[in-house]
Amino acid sequence: MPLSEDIAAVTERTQLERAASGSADALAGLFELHAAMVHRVAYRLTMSADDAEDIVQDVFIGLPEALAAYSGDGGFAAWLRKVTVRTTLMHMRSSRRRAATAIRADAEKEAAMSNYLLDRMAIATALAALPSELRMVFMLADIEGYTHADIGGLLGIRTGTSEVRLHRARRKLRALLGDR
Amino acid sequence: MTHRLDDEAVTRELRDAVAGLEPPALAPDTFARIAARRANGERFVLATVDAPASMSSRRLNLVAGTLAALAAMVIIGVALNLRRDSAITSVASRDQFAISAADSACASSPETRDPSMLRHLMIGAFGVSVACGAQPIPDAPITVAPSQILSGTFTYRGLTITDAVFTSVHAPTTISISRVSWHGASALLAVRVGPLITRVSVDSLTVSATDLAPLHWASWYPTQHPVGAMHADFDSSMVTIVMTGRFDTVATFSYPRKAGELPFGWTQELVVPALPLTNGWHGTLQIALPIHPHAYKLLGKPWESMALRVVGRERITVAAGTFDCWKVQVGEPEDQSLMWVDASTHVVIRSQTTYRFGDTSFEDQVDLQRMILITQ
Repeated sequence: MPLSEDIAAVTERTQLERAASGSADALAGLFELHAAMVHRVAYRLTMSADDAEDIVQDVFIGLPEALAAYSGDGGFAAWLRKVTVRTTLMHMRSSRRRAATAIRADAEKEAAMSNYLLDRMAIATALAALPSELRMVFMLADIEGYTHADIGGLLGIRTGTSEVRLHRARRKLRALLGDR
Repeated sequence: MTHRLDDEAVTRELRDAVAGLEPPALAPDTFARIAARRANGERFVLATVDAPASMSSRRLNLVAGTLAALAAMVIIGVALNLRRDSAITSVASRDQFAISAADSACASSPETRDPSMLRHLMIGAFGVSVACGAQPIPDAPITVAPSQILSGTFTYRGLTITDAVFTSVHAPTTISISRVSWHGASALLAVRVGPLITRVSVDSLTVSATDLAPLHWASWYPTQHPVGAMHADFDSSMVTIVMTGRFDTVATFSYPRKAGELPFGWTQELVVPALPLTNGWHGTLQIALPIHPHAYKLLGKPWESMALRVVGRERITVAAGTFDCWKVQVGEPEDQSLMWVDASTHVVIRSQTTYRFGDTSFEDQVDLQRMILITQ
Protein backbone atom coordinates (compact mmCIF):
# COMPACT_ATOMS: atom_id res chain seq x y z
CA MET A 1 0.00 0.00 0.00
CA PRO A 2 1.45 3.44 -0.90
CA LEU A 3 2.44 5.55 2.09
CA SER A 4 -0.21 8.20 1.40
CA GLU A 5 -2.97 5.57 1.42
CA ASP A 6 -1.51 4.10 4.58
CA ILE A 7 -1.66 7.48 6.29
CA ALA A 8 -5.19 8.02 5.04
CA ALA A 9 -6.25 4.64 6.44
CA VAL A 10 -4.66 5.37 9.82
CA THR A 11 -6.25 8.81 9.89
CA GLU A 12 -9.64 7.38 9.10
CA ARG A 13 -9.29 4.66 11.73
CA THR A 14 -8.29 7.24 14.34
CA GLN A 15 -11.22 9.41 13.39
CA LEU A 16 -13.61 6.46 13.63
CA GLU A 17 -12.22 5.46 17.02
CA ARG A 18 -12.60 9.00 18.30
CA ALA A 19 -16.14 9.24 16.96
CA ALA A 20 -16.99 5.91 18.54
CA SER A 21 -15.77 7.20 21.89
CA GLY A 22 -18.08 10.19 21.63
CA SER A 23 -15.92 12.94 20.11
CA ALA A 24 -18.20 15.54 18.52
CA ASP A 25 -15.29 16.89 16.46
CA ALA A 26 -14.59 13.47 14.97
CA LEU A 27 -18.27 13.02 14.20
CA ALA A 28 -18.28 16.43 12.52
CA GLY A 29 -15.34 15.30 10.41
CA LEU A 30 -17.18 12.15 9.33
CA PHE A 31 -20.24 14.24 8.56
CA GLU A 32 -18.21 16.56 6.36
CA LEU A 33 -16.74 13.62 4.45
CA HIS A 34 -19.77 11.40 4.10
CA ALA A 35 -22.99 13.39 4.64
CA ALA A 36 -23.40 14.12 0.94
CA MET A 37 -23.22 10.41 0.06
CA VAL A 38 -25.66 9.48 2.85
CA HIS A 39 -28.00 12.24 1.74
CA ARG A 40 -27.84 11.22 -1.92
CA VAL A 41 -28.51 7.54 -1.18
CA ALA A 42 -31.40 8.40 1.13
CA TYR A 43 -32.88 10.84 -1.38
CA ARG A 44 -32.69 8.44 -4.29
CA LEU A 45 -34.33 5.71 -2.31
CA THR A 46 -37.09 7.85 -0.83
CA MET A 47 -37.44 10.59 -3.45
CA SER A 48 -38.30 12.90 -0.61
CA ALA A 49 -36.08 15.77 0.50
CA ASP A 50 -37.64 15.82 3.97
CA ASP A 51 -37.19 12.10 4.50
CA ALA A 52 -33.63 12.24 3.21
CA GLU A 53 -32.81 15.00 5.70
CA ASP A 54 -34.36 12.95 8.53
CA ILE A 55 -32.35 9.90 7.54
CA VAL A 56 -29.10 11.88 7.46
CA GLN A 57 -29.80 13.01 10.99
CA ASP A 58 -30.73 9.51 12.15
CA VAL A 59 -27.61 7.99 10.62
CA PHE A 60 -25.22 10.47 12.19
CA ILE A 61 -27.00 10.49 15.55
CA GLY A 62 -26.63 6.72 15.72
CA LEU A 63 -23.23 6.44 14.09
CA PRO A 64 -20.93 6.63 17.16
CA GLU A 65 -22.67 3.67 18.83
CA ALA A 66 -23.05 1.75 15.56
CA LEU A 67 -19.32 1.96 14.89
CA ALA A 68 -18.83 -0.83 17.40
CA ALA A 69 -20.20 -3.13 14.71
CA TYR A 70 -17.83 -1.89 12.00
CA SER A 71 -15.18 -4.52 11.43
CA GLY A 72 -13.00 -2.48 9.07
CA ASP A 73 -13.55 -4.86 6.17
CA GLY A 74 -14.53 -3.39 2.83
CA GLY A 75 -13.99 0.26 3.70
CA PHE A 76 -15.93 2.62 5.86
CA ALA A 77 -17.79 4.41 3.06
CA ALA A 78 -19.21 1.13 1.72
CA TRP A 79 -20.24 0.08 5.23
CA LEU A 80 -21.88 3.45 5.87
CA ARG A 81 -23.70 3.24 2.54
CA LYS A 82 -25.17 -0.11 3.58
CA VAL A 83 -26.16 1.24 6.97
CA THR A 84 -27.82 4.17 5.21
CA VAL A 85 -29.79 1.82 2.99
CA ARG A 86 -30.96 -0.16 6.01
CA THR A 87 -31.86 2.99 7.91
CA THR A 88 -33.79 4.26 4.89
CA LEU A 89 -35.64 0.98 4.69
CA MET A 90 -36.63 1.22 8.35
CA HIS A 91 -37.64 4.82 7.83
CA MET A 92 -39.78 3.97 4.84
CA ARG A 93 -41.66 1.42 6.90
CA SER A 94 -42.58 4.02 9.45
CA SER A 95 -45.92 5.74 9.67
CA ARG A 96 -44.58 9.00 8.30
CA ARG A 97 -43.80 7.23 5.09
CA ARG A 98 -47.29 5.78 4.84
CA ALA A 99 -48.72 9.27 5.11
CA ALA A 100 -46.93 10.11 1.87
CA THR A 101 -48.77 7.45 -0.12
CA ALA A 102 -51.38 9.93 -1.31
CA ILE A 103 -48.68 12.23 -2.63
CA ARG A 104 -47.11 9.35 -4.55
CA ALA A 105 -50.49 8.48 -6.05
CA ASP A 106 -50.78 12.03 -7.37
CA ALA A 107 -47.32 11.75 -8.85
CA GLU A 108 -48.30 8.51 -10.54
CA LYS A 109 -51.33 10.14 -12.14
CA GLU A 110 -49.24 13.06 -13.26
CA ALA A 111 -46.60 10.72 -14.61
CA ALA A 112 -49.06 8.64 -16.59
CA MET A 113 -50.56 11.71 -18.26
CA SER A 114 -47.39 12.92 -19.84
CA ASN A 115 -45.26 11.80 -22.72
CA TYR A 116 -42.03 11.73 -20.87
CA LEU A 117 -38.76 12.89 -22.10
CA LEU A 118 -35.83 11.49 -20.29
CA ASP A 119 -35.05 14.60 -18.33
CA ARG A 120 -34.39 14.74 -14.66
CA MET A 121 -37.78 16.03 -13.71
CA ALA A 122 -39.47 13.17 -15.50
CA ILE A 123 -37.15 10.63 -13.96
CA ALA A 124 -37.73 12.02 -10.51
CA THR A 125 -41.49 11.96 -10.99
CA ALA A 126 -41.47 8.45 -12.39
CA LEU A 127 -39.27 7.16 -9.60
CA ALA A 128 -41.48 8.80 -7.01
CA ALA A 129 -44.44 7.04 -8.58
CA LEU A 130 -42.83 3.60 -8.21
CA PRO A 131 -43.93 1.57 -5.22
CA SER A 132 -41.18 1.85 -2.64
CA GLU A 133 -40.27 -1.85 -2.69
CA LEU A 134 -39.70 -1.67 -6.45
CA ARG A 135 -37.83 1.62 -6.27
CA MET A 136 -35.53 0.25 -3.58
CA VAL A 137 -34.54 -2.72 -5.72
CA PHE A 138 -34.19 -0.64 -8.88
CA MET A 139 -31.99 1.91 -7.15
CA LEU A 140 -29.88 -0.65 -5.36
CA ALA A 141 -29.40 -2.83 -8.44
CA ASP A 142 -29.20 -0.42 -11.33
CA ILE A 143 -27.86 2.69 -9.65
CA GLU A 144 -25.91 1.59 -6.60
CA GLY A 145 -24.62 -1.56 -8.24
CA TYR A 146 -25.53 -4.08 -5.55
CA THR A 147 -25.96 -7.71 -6.57
CA HIS A 148 -29.29 -9.44 -6.07
CA ALA A 149 -27.70 -11.47 -3.28
CA ASP A 150 -26.68 -8.23 -1.53
CA ILE A 151 -30.13 -6.75 -2.03
CA GLY A 152 -31.70 -9.90 -0.64
CA GLY A 153 -29.59 -9.50 2.48
CA LEU A 154 -30.34 -5.80 2.83
CA LEU A 155 -34.07 -6.04 2.36
CA GLY A 156 -34.66 -9.44 3.90
CA ILE A 157 -36.00 -10.92 0.67
CA ARG A 158 -34.95 -13.85 -1.48
CA THR A 159 -32.55 -13.33 -4.39
CA GLY A 160 -35.27 -14.41 -6.80
CA THR A 161 -37.66 -11.87 -5.31
CA SER A 162 -35.10 -9.15 -5.89
CA GLU A 163 -34.78 -10.19 -9.55
CA VAL A 164 -38.55 -10.19 -10.01
CA ARG A 165 -38.88 -6.78 -8.38
CA LEU A 166 -36.17 -5.34 -10.63
CA HIS A 167 -37.98 -6.64 -13.68
CA ARG A 168 -41.27 -5.20 -12.43
CA ALA A 169 -39.62 -1.88 -11.58
CA ARG A 170 -38.20 -1.56 -15.07
CA ARG A 171 -41.53 -2.51 -16.64
CA LYS A 172 -43.37 -0.01 -14.45
CA LEU A 173 -40.88 2.71 -15.28
CA ARG A 174 -41.30 1.90 -18.94
CA ALA A 175 -45.04 2.36 -18.59
CA LEU A 176 -44.64 5.58 -16.65
CA LEU A 177 -42.23 6.90 -19.22
CA GLY A 178 -44.59 6.21 -22.10
CA ASP A 179 -43.04 3.15 -23.76
CA ARG A 180 -46.10 1.08 -24.68
CA MET B 1 -39.18 9.39 -28.04
CA THR B 2 -39.67 5.83 -26.97
CA HIS B 3 -37.69 4.21 -24.16
CA ARG B 4 -37.40 0.48 -23.95
CA LEU B 5 -35.96 -0.18 -20.57
CA ASP B 6 -35.18 -3.81 -21.30
CA ASP B 7 -32.72 -2.54 -23.82
CA GLU B 8 -29.19 -2.26 -22.48
CA ALA B 9 -28.59 1.18 -23.96
CA VAL B 10 -31.80 2.66 -22.59
CA THR B 11 -31.13 1.18 -19.17
CA ARG B 12 -27.67 2.75 -19.25
CA GLU B 13 -29.22 6.07 -20.28
CA LEU B 14 -31.67 5.86 -17.43
CA ARG B 15 -28.93 4.90 -14.99
CA ASP B 16 -26.85 7.90 -16.06
CA ALA B 17 -29.81 10.20 -15.71
CA VAL B 18 -30.67 8.90 -12.24
CA ALA B 19 -27.06 8.99 -11.16
CA GLY B 20 -27.14 12.70 -11.92
CA LEU B 21 -30.22 13.17 -9.81
CA GLU B 22 -29.04 15.23 -6.87
CA PRO B 23 -31.10 16.00 -3.79
CA PRO B 24 -31.72 19.58 -2.73
CA ALA B 25 -28.89 20.85 -0.54
CA LEU B 26 -28.88 19.76 3.07
CA ALA B 27 -29.92 22.48 5.48
CA PRO B 28 -26.77 24.33 6.59
CA ASP B 29 -27.48 23.66 10.24
CA THR B 30 -28.01 19.91 9.81
CA PHE B 31 -24.91 18.90 11.72
CA ALA B 32 -25.57 21.50 14.41
CA ARG B 33 -28.96 19.88 14.93
CA ILE B 34 -27.39 16.41 15.02
CA ALA B 35 -24.83 17.58 17.60
CA ALA B 36 -27.54 19.24 19.69
CA ARG B 37 -29.71 16.13 19.63
CA ARG B 38 -26.78 13.94 20.67
CA ALA B 39 -25.79 16.40 23.39
CA ASN B 40 -29.37 16.17 24.60
CA GLY B 41 -28.89 12.45 25.06
CA GLU B 42 -30.83 11.38 21.99
CA ARG B 43 -29.64 8.20 20.28
CA PHE B 44 -30.71 6.23 17.26
CA VAL B 45 -30.00 2.53 17.04
CA LEU B 46 -28.81 1.83 13.51
CA ALA B 47 -29.24 -1.52 11.81
CA THR B 48 -25.74 -2.81 11.32
CA VAL B 49 -26.66 -6.26 10.06
CA ASP B 50 -28.75 -7.32 7.12
CA ALA B 51 -32.39 -8.16 7.60
CA PRO B 52 -33.07 -11.88 7.77
CA ALA B 53 -34.30 -13.48 4.58
CA SER B 54 -38.05 -13.70 4.36
CA MET B 55 -39.50 -16.79 5.96
CA SER B 56 -42.03 -19.30 4.93
CA SER B 57 -45.49 -18.89 6.38
CA ARG B 58 -44.86 -21.87 8.65
CA ARG B 59 -41.80 -20.20 10.12
CA LEU B 60 -43.68 -16.94 10.39
CA ASN B 61 -46.38 -18.74 12.31
CA LEU B 62 -43.72 -20.23 14.55
CA VAL B 63 -42.28 -16.77 15.25
CA ALA B 64 -45.75 -15.35 15.81
CA GLY B 65 -46.48 -18.18 18.22
CA THR B 66 -43.24 -17.56 20.06
CA LEU B 67 -44.05 -13.87 20.25
CA ALA B 68 -47.50 -14.62 21.55
CA ALA B 69 -45.98 -16.85 24.23
CA LEU B 70 -43.47 -14.15 25.12
CA ALA B 71 -46.25 -11.58 25.28
CA ALA B 72 -48.28 -13.87 27.48
CA MET B 73 -45.33 -14.17 29.82
CA VAL B 74 -45.08 -10.40 29.93
CA ILE B 75 -48.78 -10.02 30.61
CA ILE B 76 -48.65 -12.64 33.35
CA GLY B 77 -45.62 -10.87 34.78
CA VAL B 78 -47.54 -7.61 34.87
CA ALA B 79 -50.56 -9.32 36.34
CA LEU B 80 -48.51 -10.81 39.13
CA ASN B 81 -46.90 -7.42 39.68
CA LEU B 82 -43.45 -8.81 39.02
CA ARG B 83 -40.79 -6.25 38.37
CA ARG B 84 -40.26 -5.58 34.73
CA ASP B 85 -36.66 -6.58 34.39
CA SER B 86 -36.92 -10.33 34.26
CA ALA B 87 -37.50 -11.00 30.56
CA ILE B 88 -34.03 -11.51 29.17
CA THR B 89 -33.84 -13.16 25.81
CA SER B 90 -30.61 -14.64 24.54
CA VAL B 91 -30.20 -14.18 20.80
CA ALA B 92 -27.29 -14.59 18.45
CA SER B 93 -27.89 -11.17 16.97
CA ARG B 94 -30.20 -8.82 18.73
CA ASP B 95 -30.75 -6.75 15.60
CA GLN B 96 -31.78 -9.76 13.56
CA PHE B 97 -34.03 -10.93 16.32
CA ALA B 98 -35.58 -7.54 16.82
CA ILE B 99 -36.14 -6.83 13.14
CA SER B 100 -37.69 -10.19 12.35
CA ALA B 101 -39.73 -10.22 15.52
CA ALA B 102 -40.99 -6.69 14.95
CA ASP B 103 -41.91 -7.41 11.35
CA SER B 104 -43.72 -10.57 12.36
CA ALA B 105 -45.53 -8.84 15.18
CA CYS B 106 -46.73 -6.11 12.83
CA ALA B 107 -47.59 -8.39 9.93
CA SER B 108 -51.18 -8.86 11.01
CA SER B 109 -51.80 -5.24 11.85
CA PRO B 110 -52.17 -3.36 8.56
CA GLU B 111 -53.28 -0.11 10.13
CA THR B 112 -50.07 0.54 11.99
CA ARG B 113 -46.68 -0.76 11.01
CA ASP B 114 -43.80 0.80 12.76
CA PRO B 115 -41.09 -1.84 13.07
CA SER B 116 -38.37 0.72 13.59
CA MET B 117 -39.95 1.83 16.84
CA LEU B 118 -40.76 -1.73 17.74
CA ARG B 119 -37.19 -2.66 17.15
CA HIS B 120 -36.00 0.04 19.52
CA LEU B 121 -38.46 -1.11 22.07
CA MET B 122 -37.64 -4.77 21.71
CA ILE B 123 -33.96 -4.12 22.07
CA GLY B 124 -34.53 -1.61 24.81
CA ALA B 125 -36.73 -3.86 26.88
CA PHE B 126 -34.70 -7.06 26.60
CA GLY B 127 -36.99 -8.55 24.01
CA VAL B 128 -40.21 -7.70 25.79
CA SER B 129 -42.45 -7.87 22.77
CA VAL B 130 -45.29 -5.58 21.99
CA ALA B 131 -46.93 -4.73 18.73
CA CYS B 132 -48.90 -2.17 16.79
CA GLY B 133 -52.21 -0.49 17.40
CA ALA B 134 -53.17 2.38 19.61
CA GLN B 135 -55.75 3.20 22.21
CA PRO B 136 -56.45 6.56 23.79
CA ILE B 137 -55.28 7.01 27.32
CA PRO B 138 -58.21 7.75 29.62
CA ASP B 139 -58.32 10.67 31.94
CA ALA B 140 -56.70 9.83 35.22
CA PRO B 141 -59.30 10.30 37.93
CA ILE B 142 -57.06 10.42 40.98
CA THR B 143 -55.09 13.33 42.30
CA VAL B 144 -52.16 12.35 44.46
CA ALA B 145 -50.45 14.32 47.20
CA PRO B 146 -46.74 13.37 47.16
CA SER B 147 -46.14 15.74 50.10
CA GLN B 148 -47.69 13.00 52.28
CA ILE B 149 -44.87 10.58 51.44
CA LEU B 150 -42.48 10.24 54.32
CA SER B 151 -38.72 10.04 53.91
CA GLY B 152 -37.07 7.13 55.62
CA THR B 153 -36.01 3.52 55.42
CA PHE B 154 -38.62 0.81 55.41
CA THR B 155 -37.68 -2.83 55.80
CA TYR B 156 -40.24 -5.39 54.77
CA ARG B 157 -40.21 -9.02 55.70
CA GLY B 158 -39.40 -10.89 52.55
CA LEU B 159 -42.01 -12.28 50.30
CA THR B 160 -43.62 -15.34 51.83
CA ILE B 161 -45.26 -17.69 49.38
CA THR B 162 -47.44 -20.40 50.80
CA ASP B 163 -49.48 -23.08 49.14
CA ALA B 164 -50.80 -26.46 50.20
CA VAL B 165 -47.37 -28.07 50.00
CA PHE B 166 -44.65 -25.63 50.88
CA THR B 167 -43.80 -22.19 52.21
CA SER B 168 -40.88 -20.15 50.93
CA VAL B 169 -39.64 -17.16 52.85
CA HIS B 170 -37.31 -14.67 51.27
CA ALA B 171 -34.91 -12.32 53.02
CA PRO B 172 -36.07 -8.76 53.73
CA THR B 173 -36.33 -6.01 51.18
CA THR B 174 -35.35 -2.47 52.12
CA ILE B 175 -36.83 0.63 50.59
CA SER B 176 -35.30 4.03 51.17
CA ILE B 177 -37.11 7.20 50.25
CA SER B 178 -35.36 10.56 50.14
CA ARG B 179 -36.27 14.05 49.07
CA VAL B 180 -33.78 15.24 46.49
CA SER B 181 -33.28 17.89 43.83
CA TRP B 182 -33.40 16.60 40.25
CA HIS B 183 -32.13 19.14 37.70
CA GLY B 184 -33.21 21.85 40.08
CA ALA B 185 -36.70 20.49 40.67
CA SER B 186 -37.99 18.93 43.85
CA ALA B 187 -38.10 15.14 43.56
CA LEU B 188 -38.41 11.92 45.50
CA LEU B 189 -35.81 9.18 45.17
CA ALA B 190 -36.87 5.65 46.07
CA VAL B 191 -34.27 2.87 46.22
CA ARG B 192 -35.23 -0.77 46.61
CA VAL B 193 -32.78 -3.53 47.53
CA GLY B 194 -33.53 -7.17 48.18
CA PRO B 195 -33.73 -10.68 46.82
CA LEU B 196 -36.22 -11.46 44.10
CA ILE B 197 -36.78 -15.14 43.45
CA THR B 198 -33.23 -16.28 42.54
CA ARG B 199 -31.45 -13.00 42.14
CA VAL B 200 -30.67 -9.71 43.80
CA SER B 201 -32.91 -6.81 42.94
CA VAL B 202 -31.47 -3.32 43.11
CA ASP B 203 -33.49 -0.60 41.51
CA SER B 204 -34.43 3.00 41.98
CA LEU B 205 -36.99 5.45 40.75
CA THR B 206 -36.86 9.23 40.87
CA VAL B 207 -40.21 10.97 40.56
CA SER B 208 -41.45 14.52 40.63
CA ALA B 209 -42.36 15.66 44.15
CA THR B 210 -45.29 17.51 42.60
CA ASP B 211 -47.20 14.81 40.73
CA LEU B 212 -45.11 11.60 40.87
CA ALA B 213 -44.17 11.91 37.18
CA PRO B 214 -41.30 9.49 36.49
CA LEU B 215 -37.98 11.22 35.91
CA HIS B 216 -35.33 8.52 36.10
CA TRP B 217 -35.39 4.79 36.62
CA ALA B 218 -32.41 2.54 37.15
CA SER B 219 -31.93 -1.15 37.75
CA TRP B 220 -28.83 -3.24 38.34
CA TYR B 221 -28.31 -6.94 37.82
CA PRO B 222 -25.42 -7.95 40.07
CA THR B 223 -26.16 -11.67 39.65
CA GLN B 224 -26.10 -11.43 35.89
CA HIS B 225 -22.95 -12.18 33.95
CA PRO B 226 -21.66 -9.81 32.81
CA VAL B 227 -23.07 -7.54 35.49
CA GLY B 228 -25.77 -5.49 33.85
CA ALA B 229 -27.45 -2.18 34.34
CA MET B 230 -30.32 -0.39 32.75
CA HIS B 231 -31.56 3.11 33.25
CA ALA B 232 -34.21 5.26 31.70
CA ASP B 233 -34.54 9.02 31.52
CA PHE B 234 -37.97 10.48 31.06
CA ASP B 235 -39.07 13.90 29.97
CA SER B 236 -42.50 15.12 28.98
CA SER B 237 -42.46 13.40 25.60
CA MET B 238 -39.53 11.00 25.32
CA VAL B 239 -37.92 8.17 27.19
CA THR B 240 -34.35 7.04 26.62
CA ILE B 241 -33.31 3.62 27.84
CA VAL B 242 -29.63 2.75 28.12
CA MET B 243 -28.42 -0.76 28.85
CA THR B 244 -25.02 -2.18 29.58
CA GLY B 245 -23.95 -5.71 30.35
CA ARG B 246 -25.48 -8.54 28.43
CA PHE B 247 -26.69 -6.15 25.73
CA ASP B 248 -25.16 -2.74 25.19
CA THR B 249 -27.69 -0.54 23.55
CA VAL B 250 -29.55 2.71 23.67
CA ALA B 251 -33.18 3.17 22.73
CA THR B 252 -35.07 6.42 22.50
CA PHE B 253 -38.74 6.55 21.77
CA SER B 254 -41.69 8.83 22.03
CA TYR B 255 -43.45 8.59 25.37
CA PRO B 256 -45.86 11.47 25.79
CA ARG B 257 -46.96 11.45 29.38
CA LYS B 258 -50.50 12.26 30.31
CA ALA B 259 -51.09 14.26 33.47
CA GLY B 260 -52.10 12.00 36.31
CA GLU B 261 -50.36 8.83 35.13
CA LEU B 262 -48.53 7.14 37.95
CA PRO B 263 -45.25 5.21 37.91
CA PHE B 264 -45.34 1.50 37.16
CA GLY B 265 -44.01 -1.03 39.67
CA TRP B 266 -43.83 1.30 42.67
CA THR B 267 -47.41 1.31 43.88
CA GLN B 268 -46.69 0.26 47.44
CA GLU B 269 -43.68 2.51 47.86
CA LEU B 270 -44.71 5.74 46.12
CA VAL B 271 -48.33 5.71 45.00
CA VAL B 272 -50.38 4.41 47.91
CA PRO B 273 -48.71 6.73 50.49
CA ALA B 274 -49.75 9.69 48.31
CA LEU B 275 -53.44 8.73 48.09
CA PRO B 276 -56.19 10.64 49.93
CA LEU B 277 -57.34 7.57 51.83
CA THR B 278 -60.34 7.92 54.06
CA ASN B 279 -63.35 5.86 55.05
CA GLY B 280 -65.19 4.69 51.91
CA TRP B 281 -62.63 6.20 49.51
CA HIS B 282 -62.21 4.41 46.20
CA GLY B 283 -60.61 5.15 42.86
CA THR B 284 -58.79 3.69 39.89
CA LEU B 285 -55.10 4.34 39.42
CA GLN B 286 -53.66 4.68 35.92
CA ILE B 287 -50.19 3.22 36.15
CA ALA B 288 -47.97 4.21 33.25
CA LEU B 289 -46.01 1.61 31.30
CA PRO B 290 -43.05 3.21 29.55
CA ILE B 291 -43.56 1.65 26.15
CA HIS B 292 -43.95 3.23 22.78
CA PRO B 293 -47.52 4.49 22.34
CA HIS B 294 -47.87 2.75 18.98
CA ALA B 295 -46.68 -0.50 20.38
CA TYR B 296 -49.06 -2.06 22.78
CA LYS B 297 -51.39 -4.33 20.89
CA LEU B 298 -50.32 -7.37 22.85
CA LEU B 299 -50.18 -5.55 26.14
CA GLY B 300 -53.44 -3.89 25.21
CA LYS B 301 -52.71 -0.39 26.44
CA PRO B 302 -49.86 1.72 27.73
CA TRP B 303 -51.17 1.87 31.26
CA GLU B 304 -52.30 -0.50 33.92
CA SER B 305 -55.55 0.22 35.71
CA MET B 306 -55.65 -0.63 39.37
CA ALA B 307 -58.88 -0.19 41.30
CA LEU B 308 -58.49 0.54 45.03
CA ARG B 309 -61.19 0.74 47.67
CA VAL B 310 -61.02 1.37 51.41
CA VAL B 311 -63.07 -1.46 52.85
CA GLY B 312 -62.54 -0.94 56.54
CA ARG B 313 -60.26 -0.01 59.38
CA GLU B 314 -58.25 -2.57 61.34
CA ARG B 315 -55.58 -2.51 63.98
CA ILE B 316 -52.81 -4.94 63.11
CA THR B 317 -49.55 -5.93 64.76
CA VAL B 318 -46.39 -6.68 62.78
CA ALA B 319 -42.71 -6.82 63.73
CA ALA B 320 -42.41 -3.03 63.41
CA GLY B 321 -45.24 -2.42 65.88
CA THR B 322 -49.00 -2.05 66.12
CA PHE B 323 -50.70 0.25 63.64
CA ASP B 324 -54.18 1.62 63.11
CA CYS B 325 -54.73 0.95 59.41
CA TRP B 326 -57.03 1.51 56.50
CA LYS B 327 -57.78 -1.85 54.95
CA VAL B 328 -57.59 -1.36 51.18
CA GLN B 329 -58.89 -3.78 48.60
CA VAL B 330 -56.77 -3.90 45.44
CA GLY B 331 -58.60 -4.85 42.26
CA GLU B 332 -61.84 -6.77 42.40
CA PRO B 333 -62.95 -8.65 45.55
CA GLU B 334 -62.29 -11.98 43.86
CA ASP B 335 -58.65 -10.96 43.35
CA GLN B 336 -58.23 -11.23 47.13
CA SER B 337 -55.48 -8.67 47.17
CA LEU B 338 -55.35 -6.40 50.20
CA MET B 339 -53.17 -3.73 51.74
CA TRP B 340 -53.15 -2.36 55.25
CA VAL B 341 -52.05 1.28 55.24
CA ASP B 342 -51.21 3.18 58.42
CA ALA B 343 -53.90 5.85 58.77
CA SER B 344 -51.57 8.53 60.10
CA THR B 345 -48.40 8.06 58.01
CA HIS B 346 -49.89 6.31 54.94
CA VAL B 347 -47.04 3.79 55.09
CA VAL B 348 -48.02 0.36 53.80
CA ILE B 349 -47.81 -1.97 56.79
CA ARG B 350 -48.87 -5.19 55.12
CA SER B 351 -49.78 -6.39 51.66
CA GLN B 352 -51.31 -9.73 50.96
CA THR B 353 -52.43 -11.45 47.80
CA THR B 354 -53.98 -14.82 47.26
CA TYR B 355 -53.57 -16.33 43.82
CA ARG B 356 -55.81 -19.08 42.58
CA PHE B 357 -55.10 -21.24 39.56
CA GLY B 358 -57.80 -23.87 39.32
CA ASP B 359 -57.53 -26.11 42.37
CA THR B 360 -54.21 -24.63 43.39
CA SER B 361 -53.86 -21.46 45.37
CA PHE B 362 -51.05 -19.72 47.10
CA GLU B 363 -50.68 -16.66 49.22
CA ASP B 364 -47.96 -14.10 49.46
CA GLN B 365 -47.67 -11.66 52.26
CA VAL B 366 -45.26 -8.86 53.09
CA ASP B 367 -45.12 -7.14 56.50
CA LEU B 368 -43.24 -4.10 57.72
CA GLN B 369 -40.36 -5.21 59.94
CA ARG B 370 -38.64 -1.93 60.68
CA MET B 371 -39.18 1.73 59.93
CA ILE B 372 -36.74 4.60 60.41
CA LEU B 373 -38.28 7.95 59.54
CA ILE B 374 -36.21 10.96 58.59
CA THR B 375 -37.48 14.23 59.99
CA GLN B 376 -36.56 17.23 57.86
